[in-house]
Amino acid sequence: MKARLLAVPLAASLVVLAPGLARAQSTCDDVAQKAADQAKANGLSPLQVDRAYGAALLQCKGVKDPSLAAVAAAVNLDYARLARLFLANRLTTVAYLQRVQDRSAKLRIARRDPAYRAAFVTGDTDGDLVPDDRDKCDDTPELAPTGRDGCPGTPPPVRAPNDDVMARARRAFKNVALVSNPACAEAPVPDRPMPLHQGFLRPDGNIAHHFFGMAVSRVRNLPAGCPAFYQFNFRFSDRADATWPVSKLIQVTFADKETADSGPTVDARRIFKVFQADTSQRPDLALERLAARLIQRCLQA
Amino acid sequence: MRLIARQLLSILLIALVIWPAGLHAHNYGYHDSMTDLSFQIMLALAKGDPRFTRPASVSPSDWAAFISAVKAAVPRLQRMPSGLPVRTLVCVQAVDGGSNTVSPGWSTTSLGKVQHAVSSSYLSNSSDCGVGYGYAPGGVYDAINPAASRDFSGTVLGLWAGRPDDEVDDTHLEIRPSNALGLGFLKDKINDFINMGLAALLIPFVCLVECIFGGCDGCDTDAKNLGDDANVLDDIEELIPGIGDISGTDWTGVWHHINLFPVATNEFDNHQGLLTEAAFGGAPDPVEILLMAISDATGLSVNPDDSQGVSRYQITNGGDGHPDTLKRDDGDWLLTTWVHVPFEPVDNLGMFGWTEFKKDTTRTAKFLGWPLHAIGDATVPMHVAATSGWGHRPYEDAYDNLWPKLRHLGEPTEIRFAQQSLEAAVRWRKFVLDWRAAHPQSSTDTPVRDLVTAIAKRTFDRAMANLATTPDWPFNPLMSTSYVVAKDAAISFYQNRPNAVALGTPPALDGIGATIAFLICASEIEPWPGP
Repeated sequence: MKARLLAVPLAASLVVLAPGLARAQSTCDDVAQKAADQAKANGLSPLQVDRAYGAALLQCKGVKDPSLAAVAAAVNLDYARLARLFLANRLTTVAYLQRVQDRSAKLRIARRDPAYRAAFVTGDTDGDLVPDDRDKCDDTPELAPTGRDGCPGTPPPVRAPNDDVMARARRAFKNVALVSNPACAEAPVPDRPMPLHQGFLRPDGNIAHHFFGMAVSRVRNLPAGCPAFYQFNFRFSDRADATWPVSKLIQVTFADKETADSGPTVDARRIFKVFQADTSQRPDLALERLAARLIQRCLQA
Repeated sequence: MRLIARQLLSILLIALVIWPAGLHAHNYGYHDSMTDLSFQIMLALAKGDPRFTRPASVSPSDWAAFISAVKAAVPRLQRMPSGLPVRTLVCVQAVDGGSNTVSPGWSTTSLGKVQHAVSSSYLSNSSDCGVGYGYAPGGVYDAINPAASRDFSGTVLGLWAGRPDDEVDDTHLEIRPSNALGLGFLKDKINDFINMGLAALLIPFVCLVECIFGGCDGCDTDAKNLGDDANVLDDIEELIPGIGDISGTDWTGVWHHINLFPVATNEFDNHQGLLTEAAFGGAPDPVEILLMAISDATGLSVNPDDSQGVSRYQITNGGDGHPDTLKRDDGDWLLTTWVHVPFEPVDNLGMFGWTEFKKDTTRTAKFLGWPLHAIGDATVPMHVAATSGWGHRPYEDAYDNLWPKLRHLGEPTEIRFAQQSLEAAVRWRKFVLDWRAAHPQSSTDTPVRDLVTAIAKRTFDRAMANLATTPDWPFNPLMSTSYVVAKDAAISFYQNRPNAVALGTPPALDGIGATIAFLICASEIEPWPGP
């Protein structure tokens, strides 16, 4: 029997999880990922890389005007950044709402005015969503609201709940803050790890010690306290096993701290292991019987 | 990893939004009961019940014309095909004191020949025959519409009136990354969190959306079940398609609002619908703000390909003199997360059903459900202020519960309430007739969008006027939050205040009156099924 195994380490990828449109989403994610990689290769800033990703994704999903997709991607990115800051209690409610409204107003202008969005594509150096050619203040602080001239000023007043009322709601949903990691709030897009080695090892003949190992380059561009996760996608191409659909894709995710590498290259590499006998610590693997299948396929090959 | 926070939020949000929501999580009873009572009042008039006399404010000639219209409408409505699907003939309990079986075709006939009341779960629970056990019209109507020869048309119309809340295909959402991170490790991380004992984190998230858009019933239990389930991964496997496709009754309501604040941007219709970012005239309540942040952090966006509301509720060439919707293509709908998308207004929802009803020359009752539902929603202050917060859910629950008191069930004032409803019905009937007079080419049409908007405007004006005298009613920035942590107390805030019935009566009268007027007018188009 011929079997082939493909293991792909990724720091982040959109995986095919559902038929139909989800496949389209996955395809679009691939397209967008390529755009992001290209932007990164061109030496663009993390913000610009994210914008490139978002614009490509929106275009792939159906936004016909590339310049509108570019503005919307920038707005969506800012919405998400603002939301994380707000959920992490690093923005007041008023400041959050003012900034959201500022972004929405600029998107409305871009929707109405093709010249505005065309100019945006040619440059928005300070990221305030006001194109450089009409931005009289080219050094606007991150995420600050501005006037149409791109200068920070007094934003229009917003009607926000008072602090007490908002605090009550936060208490009602207090765990919102717990699952939002403030250390990651403004972290850049992680580097994409490169596959280095993979393979099956029987270190001592004890089946409990058999494992499939994967070595990848380490993600190093994240701030302290913001953990990286490494996702591995296992796709089988063996059509002989009717119980194991050829389209079956298994994702396994490891936290950075799960690395088995303690050697001299620890700063640059991460090694993760799937043990044949490992069923207690990673019941997801047990359920999928992934390790056994991996090892079986390796032996058969 | 940059967006681990977003990923975690995604996981939890997904877990909650795809959790099976109870059917009729909205105010089904309000829509159903309002429609059924309206039909019972029409039946009383058609039968010439002497207690239903002319309201003082209605002229004798107007009253005579109105009575004549009602008498013509009732038999026509009774001839409408019910539009109900076939169900099993075996019931889980005895029907009307008889056996556990029902006759073939008992519900799939014309309205007037339906043999039993239909249950609220007729369209959703296929294991039962769909009979509404123990139904009676209530109060004086029990004798007007006696058990021996009971007409169940009102229950069928009521069922369809509640139906739009269960149109789960109206809204499909998807998680869309805003940057170069995806959803890849979702399954693993959900399981990891559960194994790490973090399932408790799910509870507030489950409650968050479910309590805003759904019924909030048992949301704590649902969340705990997720944590306690030994085979949770199996559940997650089932739920995984939801990652790319999130829908459910919690999300149907996004099409059920109309924003009557003068500050509304109204970019696509003369009145826009729900826009969470600018809810309640630009003052979203705390729950809406948190929902917005979570949705933005997770990239929760409309999937226009699968959302039939996109095609249904953008109205062009309506033929009612109303401005067309400035139609958005798929790209427009998915440009931002859903909280920044202005949804189509509820008058368009009504118009969709009305247009379909006109197209379907068999005149099945089904499509009347949309305009009937829109009329009901237009009497709810939060729907016309375009907010899912500000006490929306507890207000609706309270008035669902208060319905028997609102209609003065079994009270000496029951007939007087019916007369007040008829006063409103005559007024709304005149509204339609005036429109027809101004549009002679549409002499039997009904301006559903104008009708719904006019009802909504009255509701809005009344609610705003109330704020001046009763600042915390009906819009209260604390009650949607309270509903999450102390549901009964939040409902009680609306339900148990001394003047709760008095405050809820004007919108109820408008709703019943407009429903009667609409049913009369709907029955006037041709062709119509013969006897």
